[in-house]
Amino acid sequence: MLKIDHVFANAGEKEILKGLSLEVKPGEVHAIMGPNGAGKSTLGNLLAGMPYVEPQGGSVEYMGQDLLSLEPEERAAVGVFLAFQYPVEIPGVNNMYFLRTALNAQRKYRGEEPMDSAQFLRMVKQKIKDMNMRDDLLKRPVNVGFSGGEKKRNEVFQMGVLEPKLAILDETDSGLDIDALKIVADGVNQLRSPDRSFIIITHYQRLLDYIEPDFVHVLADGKIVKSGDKNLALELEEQGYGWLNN
Amino acid sequence: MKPEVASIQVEITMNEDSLEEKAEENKVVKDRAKQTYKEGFSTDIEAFTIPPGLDEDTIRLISSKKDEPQWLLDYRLDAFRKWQSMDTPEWAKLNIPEIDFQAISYYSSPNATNENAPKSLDEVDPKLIETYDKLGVPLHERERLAGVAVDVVFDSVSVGTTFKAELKKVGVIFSSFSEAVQDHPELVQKYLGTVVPAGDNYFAALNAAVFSDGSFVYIPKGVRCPMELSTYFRINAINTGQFERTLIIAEDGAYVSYLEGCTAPMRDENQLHAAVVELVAKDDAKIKYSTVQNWYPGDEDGKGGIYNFVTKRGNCLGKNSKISWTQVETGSAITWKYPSCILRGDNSSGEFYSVALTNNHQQADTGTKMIHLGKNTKSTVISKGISVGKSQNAYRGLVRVAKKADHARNFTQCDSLLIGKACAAHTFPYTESANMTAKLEHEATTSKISEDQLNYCLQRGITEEDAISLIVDGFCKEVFKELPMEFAVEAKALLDISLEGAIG
Amino acid sequence: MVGLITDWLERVNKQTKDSISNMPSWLQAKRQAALVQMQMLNEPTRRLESWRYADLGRLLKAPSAFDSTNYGQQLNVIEGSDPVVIVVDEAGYMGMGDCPDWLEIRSLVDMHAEDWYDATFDQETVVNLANSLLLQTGGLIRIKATDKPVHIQLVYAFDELDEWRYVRNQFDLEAGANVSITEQHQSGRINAVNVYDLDSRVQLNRVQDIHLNSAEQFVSMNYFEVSKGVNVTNMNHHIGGSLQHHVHWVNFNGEGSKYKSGSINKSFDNNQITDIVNVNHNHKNNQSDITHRSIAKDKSQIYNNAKAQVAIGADQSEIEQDLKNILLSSDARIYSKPELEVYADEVIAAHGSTIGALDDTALFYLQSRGVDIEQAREIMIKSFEQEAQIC
Repeated sequence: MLKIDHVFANAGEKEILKGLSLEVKPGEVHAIMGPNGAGKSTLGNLLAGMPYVEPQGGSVEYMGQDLLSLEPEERAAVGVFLAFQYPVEIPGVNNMYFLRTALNAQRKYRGEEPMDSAQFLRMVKQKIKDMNMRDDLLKRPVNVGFSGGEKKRNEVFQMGVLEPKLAILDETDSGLDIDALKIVADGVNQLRSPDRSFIIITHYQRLLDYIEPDFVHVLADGKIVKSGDKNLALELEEQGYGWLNN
Repeated sequence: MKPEVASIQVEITMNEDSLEEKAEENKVVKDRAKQTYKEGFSTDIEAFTIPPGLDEDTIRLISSKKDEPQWLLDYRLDAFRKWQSMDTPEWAKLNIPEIDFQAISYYSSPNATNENAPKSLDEVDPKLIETYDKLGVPLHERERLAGVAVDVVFDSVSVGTTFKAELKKVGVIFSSFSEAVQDHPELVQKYLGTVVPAGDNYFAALNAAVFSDGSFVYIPKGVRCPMELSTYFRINAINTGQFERTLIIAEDGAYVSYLEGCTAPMRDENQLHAAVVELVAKDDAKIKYSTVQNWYPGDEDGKGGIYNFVTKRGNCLGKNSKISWTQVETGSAITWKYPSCILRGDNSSGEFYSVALTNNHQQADTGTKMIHLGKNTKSTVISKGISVGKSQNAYRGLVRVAKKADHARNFTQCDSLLIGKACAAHTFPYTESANMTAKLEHEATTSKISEDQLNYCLQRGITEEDAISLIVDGFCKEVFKELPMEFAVEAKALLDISLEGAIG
Repeated sequence: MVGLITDWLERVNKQTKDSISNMPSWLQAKRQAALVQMQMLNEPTRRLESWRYADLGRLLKAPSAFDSTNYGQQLNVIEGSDPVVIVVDEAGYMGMGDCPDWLEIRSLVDMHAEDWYDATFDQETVVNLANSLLLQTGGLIRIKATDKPVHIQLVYAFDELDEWRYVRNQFDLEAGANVSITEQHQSGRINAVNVYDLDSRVQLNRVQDIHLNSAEQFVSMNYFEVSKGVNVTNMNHHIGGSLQHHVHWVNFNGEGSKYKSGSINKSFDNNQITDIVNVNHNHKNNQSDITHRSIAKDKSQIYNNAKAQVAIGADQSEIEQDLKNILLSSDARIYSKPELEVYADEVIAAHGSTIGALDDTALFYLQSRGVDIEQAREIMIKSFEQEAQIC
C-alpha cells in the first residue's frame, strides 16, 4: 500500500528526514516512536503534503502512485488522512458543513455522486453514535472553543466519516486524559479493517495499550533505527530513548 | 567578574523571586526616591556661551568655532533655509507652548579659554569631573564599569572619550562628532544626512543647522566592538539648547552596542533639546542602541523641564542587518520621539522596545516607524506606557509594508497602564500593507493597575507604594531585559523615582 | 486636490429657487449657516485623517466615467416578519402600504425646527458638511415603543445615477423602542447623514448594506446619540464601489449602554472603501465592541479605523476593537488603525489589528480533508467574514 524509499526532506531550512524507509501493507498498524525532534511529525506532514515540508530525495509510492506528486487534496481523495497534532480552528464554519464539503469534494474526485444533505446527516449521526461522541460536536464551528481532548476526538471522528485507506495519527494521544484516550482508541479500533492501514505517531507507549500495533519503529535523527513488534514499545517505555545516543 | 556586576545580578534575581525581598529592596529605592530628581544640581563653571538668537550668522559662528570644512557649513545653511520654510508639527497629541527660537543660545562650551574640546582628561575642569561623579558617570578608565567606553557631551562640546586607544586597536572609531569632522571628514560627509535628511522634519532641520556636537561611531567590516560604547548627555548652561548629532556606521558583519544617558539640572525655564541620531547597518551588521532618558521633567506644577524633540532613525541597508532600539523615557516635560527603522536590506530586522513613564504634567508622544522595503524583513515593537499624575502618554506607531516586501513580518504589542484619575493614555498605531504575503499583527491594551495584583501584594505585607513599583517593574520587564545590565538597574531605579507620588 | 469646495458652492447656485423656497425658513437658515462655514474651510486633502487613504478626486468624477462591474447579489438581510419599506428617492420618502401606528414619517419640508439634529462639522468632516449645504431629501422617522420588535427597511432608489444626492435620515427612537432598521442601497450616488437618536432602553438592530458596483459612490456620516440602558448592534456590509466612505460617530450620553458593531468590507478592481467608527465614552459604565473584517482584491484598497475616546471620569468603560484584514492580491492595499484615547483609569480597553493573507495552515488543513484550494479559500474567507457577522 505504502512504500517509503530512502526519503530525505526539509522542514523550513532544516534537514529533518535523512533517508527514511518504511513499508506498510494493507490492514497493518505501524507505530512510529522516537524522541522529540526526530522527525516523526515531519513524516506525517510529508505524507499529507504540508507545503512547509519539502522532499529532497527518495520516493513515496502509495497504491501504485507517486504520492509526492499529488496535491494535498488529491492525497485526501485517494485515501490519505492525517489527524493533526494541532488541529486548526476555523471560526464561523460548522463542523458538519465542513465535513460534507470535504466528503463531497473527495467523492467528486473519485467520480462518485455527491451525498445529499439528508443522506449525509443520517450517516454522520450514526457514526457519531458508533464512536460514542456527543452530537453537539457537529453544530459547533470547526475546533473553535474545543478543549484539547475534543479537538483530538474531532480528528478521529472526521476520520470515521471520511473513511480513509491510510490514516496517519500525529500524536493524537498527547494531552488526553484516560477516558478521552479510550474514546480515541475505540474510534481507531472500529475503523481497523483488512484494507485500511494506520501509521500511529506517538511519543509514549500508552496509546499502544489500547491500539495494538503490528509493528513498532523507532525514528531517530531522520531515520528508522530499529523495528520490531509491540514488545519494542514496552522496551522503549522502560529504557527511554537515551540508548539511541550510544 | 567585577563585584559591581555581580551585585547587579543579585538585584535582578530578587526582582523575580520573593515579594518580601522585593519589599526590602524597595526601601532602599525609596530612600533614593526621596531625592526626587537627583541629577538636578547645576555646575558652576566658567563657560563660553554665544548670545541667544538664530540667523545665518549664528550658524557661521558655530561652524567657524568648530573650524568646520566648507561643505559642512553649506549643509548647515541649506538645512537652516529649509527649516525657515517649515512649520512646527502639530499632529502629535502634545500641547507644545510656542518656542522662542531667538531666546535660545545655540552654542555653549564649558571651557572659555580652550575653544576645542580638551585633548585628555587631565585638561578637563575638575568641577566637571565632580559633576560626573555625582551623576555616577564613569570617566576614569580605572574606575568601575570597566567595560564601558564613555563619550560625554556637556552642553555643546564633547569633553573626553575614554578607552580610545583600546578601540583603536581593532579599528573602531569612537569620538565626538566634532573630532570626527576633523579626523574622518570623508566618512562624515559620506553618511551625514543619509538616514535623516536635513529637511526631514522641523526639528531635524533645526538640528542639522545648529548641531554642536555628539558622538561618532564607525565599526569596520567584520569587527565586533569589544566593549559597549556609551555617551552621557547633560544640559547645564542656562537658556541653552542642546542639539547633538550622533552617527553610527556598522560595516558588513560588524556589531556594536551603544548606550546613551541624559540628564539636565532643575531650572524653572524650559530648555530645548533637539537631537538627531542616524544609524547605518550594512550586510549582516547589527546595531543595538539603548537610551535612558532622564532629562529634567519639570516640577510638580509643570514648571520648567526639557522639551525633547528627537529624530532617531536607523537604516538597515544591508541584507541580514539588524537595528534594535531600546528606550526608557522617564524625563522631559515634553517628549516627541520616534526611533525608527528602514528595513531596506532583504532579511533585515528592526526592533523597538520602549518604556515611557510620565508623571505630574509631563507629556510624551513616542513610538516608532518600521518601514519594510526588503523581502523577508521582520520588525518587533514592544511598547509600555505608564501614565501617572496629570500626565499625557501616547504611543504613535507606523508599520508600512511596501509592495515588494514579500513575506515581511511585524509584531507589535503596546500596553498602557494608568495610575491615577487625572492622567491619560493614548494609542495611535498605523498599519499599512501593500503586499499580500506580508503579515502584520498589532495588539494593545489599556487598563489601570490591577486591583487583584495590588491586593495580593498588600496581603503579603507590601506597602501600596512598593507594590505599585513592583507591578510596574513587572509590566516593563520585556523591555528591561533588552537593556544592558548596568542600564537595566539604572532604569529600574529611575522608574521608582518617577513613580514617587503615584498614590494618594 | 482642487475643486471640491468650488464644486459644492457652484451646486448651491445651480439649485432651483423652487426647491429651496419650499423649505421652511429654519431649514433655509441651516443651509445658510452651512454655506458660511463652507466658505471658511479649506479644500479637503489627504491630510485629513479620515481621507488619508482615499482618493478625494473620485468625488468629482461621475460614476459613468468608471467601468461598472457588479459584485454578486445584495444580501437579503431581514428575516422573519415583513419589514415596513420606505423608499427614498428624488421625491422624498415613499412608504409602502399603510403606515402602522408606531411609526411617524415626516419629510424634510414638514420637519419642525426642534426636531432637527444640529450636527457639528469641521475641516475633518467638510465632505459631510456638504450634505447640510445641499440637502435635498430625507426627513424624520419616529418610532414608538411596541410589544413586539418592528422592522423598517430604508431603500435608497434614485433615478439619476451620476448626480450626487444629499440625503438626511433622522431616526428618532422613543424610550423602550425595539427596532430593526436596514439601510440598503439600490441606486444613486449618495451623500447621506443618518442620525439615530436613541432614547432610554432602546434596542436597535441596524444594518447598513451598501453593495455597489465598481462605478458607484456612497458617502455616509452616521450619528448615534445613545442615552441610558440602550443596546445597539450595528452590522455593516460595505461591498464594492469606486468610493465608499463611512463614518460612524457614537456618543454615549448616559450610562449602562452597549454599542456593538461589525463590518464586513470587501473591495475589488479599483474600489476604495473607508470605514471609520468613532465611539465617545462620555459617561461611565458603557461598552463598545467593534469588529471589522476586510478583504481587498485586485487593485482595491480598504481603510479601517476604530477609535474610542474615554472622557475624564468615564469609569467602568469597556472597549474592544478587533480589526482584521486580508489581502488577496499583490496589488491590493490595506490600512488599519485601531485607536484609543483614554482619560479615565477604571477602564478595560483592548485592541488588535492584523493584516495578512489567508492562513496557510488552515488552507492546508482543508486541502488535507480533500477540499481543493479554490474552495478552501472560499471557506476560509467565509469563516473570516463570519467573525464580524454580529447579527
